[in-house]
Amino acid sequence: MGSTRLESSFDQRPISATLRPADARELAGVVAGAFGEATAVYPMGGETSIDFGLPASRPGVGLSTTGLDRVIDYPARDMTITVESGVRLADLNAVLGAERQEVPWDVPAAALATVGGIIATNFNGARRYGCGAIRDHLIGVTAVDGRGVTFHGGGRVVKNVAGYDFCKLLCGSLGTLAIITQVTLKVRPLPEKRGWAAVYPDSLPQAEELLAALEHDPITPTAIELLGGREAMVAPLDPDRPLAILVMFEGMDCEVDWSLGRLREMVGRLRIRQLDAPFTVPHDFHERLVEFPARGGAAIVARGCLPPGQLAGFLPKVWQVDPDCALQAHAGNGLFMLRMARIPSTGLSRSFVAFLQAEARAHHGSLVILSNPAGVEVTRQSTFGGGNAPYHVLESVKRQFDPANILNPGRFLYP
Amino acid sequence: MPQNLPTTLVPELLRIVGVEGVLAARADLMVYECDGFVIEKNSPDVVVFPTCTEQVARVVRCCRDAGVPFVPRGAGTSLAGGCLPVGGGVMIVLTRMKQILEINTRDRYAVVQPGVVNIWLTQALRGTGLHYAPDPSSQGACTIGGNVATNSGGPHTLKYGVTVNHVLGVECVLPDGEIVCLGGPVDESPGCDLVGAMVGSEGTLAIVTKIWVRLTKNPQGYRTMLGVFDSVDDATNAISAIIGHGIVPAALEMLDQGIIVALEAAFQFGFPLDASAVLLIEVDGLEVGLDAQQQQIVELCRQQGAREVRLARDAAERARLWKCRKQAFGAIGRLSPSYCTQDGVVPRTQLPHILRRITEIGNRHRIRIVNVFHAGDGNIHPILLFDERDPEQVQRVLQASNEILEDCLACGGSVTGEHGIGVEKIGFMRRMFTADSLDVMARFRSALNPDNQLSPGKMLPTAAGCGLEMKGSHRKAAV
Amino acid sequence: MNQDPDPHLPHRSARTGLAAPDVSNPGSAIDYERFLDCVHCGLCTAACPTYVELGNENDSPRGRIYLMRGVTDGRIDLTPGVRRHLELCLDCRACETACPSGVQYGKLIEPFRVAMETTEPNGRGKTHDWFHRWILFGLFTQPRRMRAALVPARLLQRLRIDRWIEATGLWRLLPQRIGRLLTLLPRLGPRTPDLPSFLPAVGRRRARVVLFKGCVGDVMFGSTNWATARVLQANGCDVLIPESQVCCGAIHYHAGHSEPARELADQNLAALKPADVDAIVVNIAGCGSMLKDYGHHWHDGRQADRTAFAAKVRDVSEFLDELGLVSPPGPIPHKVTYHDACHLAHAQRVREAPRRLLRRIPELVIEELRESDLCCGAAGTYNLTEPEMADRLARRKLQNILETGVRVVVTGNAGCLLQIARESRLQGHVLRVLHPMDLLDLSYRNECLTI
Ligand SMILES: Cc1cc2nc3c(=O)[nH]c(=O)nc-3n(C[C@H](O)[C@H](O)[C@H](O)COP(=O)(O)OP(=O)(O)OC[C@H]3O[C@@H](n4cnc5c(N)ncnc54)[C@H](O)[C@@H]3O)c2cc1C
Ligand code: SF4
Ligand code: SF4
Repeated sequence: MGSTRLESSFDQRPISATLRPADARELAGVVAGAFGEATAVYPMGGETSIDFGLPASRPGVGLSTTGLDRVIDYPARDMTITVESGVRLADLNAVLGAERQEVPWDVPAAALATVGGIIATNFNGARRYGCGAIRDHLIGVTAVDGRGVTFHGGGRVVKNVAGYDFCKLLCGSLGTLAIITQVTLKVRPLPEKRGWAAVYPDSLPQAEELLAALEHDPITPTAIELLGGREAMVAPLDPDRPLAILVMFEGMDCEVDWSLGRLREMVGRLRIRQLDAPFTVPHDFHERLVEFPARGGAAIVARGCLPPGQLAGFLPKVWQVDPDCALQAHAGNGLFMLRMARIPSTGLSRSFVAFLQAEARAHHGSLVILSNPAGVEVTRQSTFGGGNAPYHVLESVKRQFDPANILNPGRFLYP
Repeated sequence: MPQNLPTTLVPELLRIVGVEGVLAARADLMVYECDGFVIEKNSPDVVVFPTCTEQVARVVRCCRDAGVPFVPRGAGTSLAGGCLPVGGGVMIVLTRMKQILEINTRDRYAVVQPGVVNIWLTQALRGTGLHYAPDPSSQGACTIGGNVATNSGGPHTLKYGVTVNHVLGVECVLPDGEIVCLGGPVDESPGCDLVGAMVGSEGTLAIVTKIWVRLTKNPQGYRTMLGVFDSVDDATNAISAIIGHGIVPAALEMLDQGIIVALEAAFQFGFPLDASAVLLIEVDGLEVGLDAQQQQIVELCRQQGAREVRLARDAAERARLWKCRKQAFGAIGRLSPSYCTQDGVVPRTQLPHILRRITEIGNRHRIRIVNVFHAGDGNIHPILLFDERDPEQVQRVLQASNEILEDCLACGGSVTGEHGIGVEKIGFMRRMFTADSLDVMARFRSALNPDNQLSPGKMLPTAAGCGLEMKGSHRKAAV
Repeated sequence: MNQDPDPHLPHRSARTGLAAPDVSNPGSAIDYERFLDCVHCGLCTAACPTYVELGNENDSPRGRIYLMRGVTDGRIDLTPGVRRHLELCLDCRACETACPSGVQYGKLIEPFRVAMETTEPNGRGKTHDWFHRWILFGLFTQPRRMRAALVPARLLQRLRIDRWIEATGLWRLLPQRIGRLLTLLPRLGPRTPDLPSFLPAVGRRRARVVLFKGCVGDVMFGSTNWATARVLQANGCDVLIPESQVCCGAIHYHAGHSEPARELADQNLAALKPADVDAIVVNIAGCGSMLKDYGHHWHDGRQADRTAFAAKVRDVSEFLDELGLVSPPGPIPHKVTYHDACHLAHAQRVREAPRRLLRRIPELVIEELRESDLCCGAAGTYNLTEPEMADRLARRKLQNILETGVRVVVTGNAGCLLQIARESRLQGHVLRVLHPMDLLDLSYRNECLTI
């Protein structure tokens, strides 16, 4: 499995030292101390997405959760697991795999990425379509707020409506509200079989035809990926094709086989070119697909989300401003990642990035910058894409969780 | 008219929503003194029926300026007293905001106003091959706004998830009257998941005025089975066997003998009266896989000692089975003049334990208890039968209820799986959460609802305010 | 917080005592246990047409029960406002279908209204006005008078003046309820001959039934009564149609006039002789549900006879479905939609039988109707007494019908037939509104349906 990470331009200079507490109590103590001194704390997990967000500006300490790497409780027959937040995804799935279970999260660098970091960044992958988002698997959380106070949300049972759902609130909060120390996850049984199909649409309208048809068919894929651009075509896909749609099925043998057959018929009806069937993929195909945003060489990596049906209308704008841009979209969810080849030398906010962000907003979506290895000028607006999110509401939530603004200060949506 | 209302308030409200939209006469207010939870009652001072978001915002601003509390209400089916106007004030009833604003089948979402009744949406989707998955037993009456506020579940949430898993975005009016939009027709937007936190907040953070919900494809087929068991233990073991075997049924419900007898009297379905428990199991999905899954489940049930496993022969029989399940509580009337139901959750493997405990607790307190519940989720609904006219019995019922919930907590569970905390279970919050956690919850609330003018006295215990806990639930209620 | 000592303990013992019913309190007429059946769950609300329209819990079943109980307990007075909420009830009983706790709402609202009527100072009760006295009770329930009254109407229709009156809205100038009555009139065909007192079974005799003609039905739907009789014959039934039968009494009873209704009931008991037949067949849902309720309404020495009578009553669809329909031969290649009459679906729980029968007609296609069991606003005489709500519901019903794209609506109640037809005429739509027996009759006679 690859151990790449997002190419980092994360400026470590303001960080004087990185602490690695051995357990949650120690971690809470560190934060409490920092709160007393109003020292900035930069939480870190596997550091695979450390580049996401604005650069650290205030001097402070790094706080690694990787010392919190214990499995607390794994009642396999209840299909839940409670782990500390520094557990790496690959390790977690190894534990689960022994009971033929898994957490179906597709994130790059799973050998490094920690559970806490995945939740904090909330980057959902390919199987979000069939298996649900990160938030859908999170049923309990323990975290430390910006005062060093440890608190809980949810619990260890799969259904629970007592109190505010902090599990959800902390998803995507990028370590700015609290540092997650422990989570309980809902897990799922490993499917009996996994099967892929790949087709090559000639054009975006043709791709949209298939994508729409998939939505109106009883067929139940776990992932629907739309790839575009030479760089996106993972072997054995043909790099000379402008577009590819990959459809993944999981389930019992008979279900997967039936679904592949059904898809073949559908594709035939739409007269889309098909890769030789059955489409057999190398065993690490899925992993390599997942590494897409983390592969080196891009000027900018961006991530966005649109209503799925709007992708076909939006993507031409992308290729208009950057013909060499590589695309991977979790097309069933409207999530997409762009590896841009052009360096926006004028700075993000004045470049085509701003143009694409405006286009995304016009399509009811958003576009954020995941990584910016070239280190061009960034602003809050250009990183997170502006839009009409109620920033002042987020800010007042932030003030309650982190009154001294010590958790990842200045790196997220609020100053 | 209460003394504590500023005299300008009602005229002001009349200007906003018109005479048709305001109730202020005592006789008209009486029905709003409680919801599905009837132990605590308090009349609001005024009821308003806004018809659009702008009106909600103006009403809220008006309340804020007047310094009176206000509380939202949907269909009023809450079983936890979520709609109780603690301290009186203005009740904002959303039943006139009942339009389905958009259905988008390509992107599989719908936009609805909060007063849309859950089942209307599924009815409106007929013919599209889609449905709205959360299916509380009250779905024929409860509103989607209320579902969002309480994060409702139902039998099919075992496979499909509860309300929060199906809400993409909300438009809401904050307690200061500002209208904000969180999320929207997309799966992801930058920032922390405020939408997710808004769901299940029991109306204490904002008034939801518009909702983007995810629609779910109808499954290609179903198999519905009825496993008949001679002992409750065998049935609960079969539940863990099925789940533990990696099968995720669409629904897995358990009914014990007490409820079977009542249902049989009401609907003559043909349930075996001498069975100790039956499991209602449904798998759905692609036709090709269903027979195999069904076979597996039948096997597992047999291995756990099922006397027989019956299969629903056709759609009509399936519909009848589900009707029995969803109307189960109605049939209780045949067993007892009053009943009270609890909503605990335990890890699924603890079901055999908790059911044994329930029997034991019932015996000790000489209270008959019957069970019908969402077994696959470990969400129990023990129903305690009694006669409310006997105060001593009522006391025993309260005691037994309490012990059962304590036991759920001891198993690592929760005191509410779907009905919410409301005012009813506010006393249990300290048992479930540390003081620090409650403090952080209070801080979170104050980020949006700083003066606690919106829905005061709900969900979070205040320093002095958990006196409601032991008055408990000597009510007849249904689930 | 004003806490009630105990919300479920009947307050009657404290306030009124069991022995001496408080005549000034309409609630004293009600068996208090029936209030206790309601667990206040609210599952009935969205089934209630007035609640769905108004969104006010006071206009919902749970709210109305709460109001009645509040009055009974002396918590609130029977103010004009409270009265309004109770009067606005259609008595459609959709709430009974929806209620999982088996609350018999009809047995609360009906006696309560009767009592409300009698406690009202004389002359001021809503049914003491001229309209109720002369038109509803005096005319509607007397077929002979009504037939005479319809002569001028027929003439107007023959001359197409009625269309002109409707189109120009001139009916609005007439005293309101008379105007509405006029617009409700169906296209009256030439007067159908009276049904004979006996029609023999065709083919092998399978049953012997009496046909209840109804008062309004007999006059306005003579052809449907004929169709019903022929369908029964075709299904091997000897059909008795005794002359001496009278109005079922529903109009009186639902308006709070219990005594005249009891007299009518007993006349019917004498006329229809339940012991001699297999069933008393009714083709008007409203009458059918009243006849089925004879056993509950009055508590006197004849209760047992009335219960025995009621046990024989069947809606015609229900009866044919139980008997086993003889396959109708003639194809009717049309799409139709089916509206569930409240008094059939809710009061009598007959929902599938008519649909099953219709599905037997070759080539007939049934499109499902959204909110098919939401009241159309006819609700007995409600249409005439609560015009505003009746119109709202009629518009809603028509809207739903138009959405199906179908031009033929089938329903098993006279009031609904009139109401839906009226609304479509007023809005200028071409819609055929038929009774299931009309369609079956066409099929047995191999005739085609014209629209
Ligand atoms: C017979 C019966 C069966 C039930 N079965 C289930 C079940 O299977 N699963 C389940 O989860 N629940 C069940 N319930 C509980 C109840 O139906 C649900 O909680 C439902 O979601 C409440 O919806 P409502 O419209 O009635 O909301 P209400 O009862 O009107 O309100 C509930 C809460 O939501 C708040 N609220 C309402 N509307 C808004 C809004 N627009 N914005 C903000 N806050 C709002 C209220 O203030 C209150 O706190 C059942 C109840 C009954 C009576
Ligand atoms: S459904 Fe029945 S029990 Fe529930 S409120 Fe309505 S009438 Fe009462
Ligand atoms: S009878 Fe009809 S109108 Fe009256 S309360 Fe019941 S549902 Fe509503």
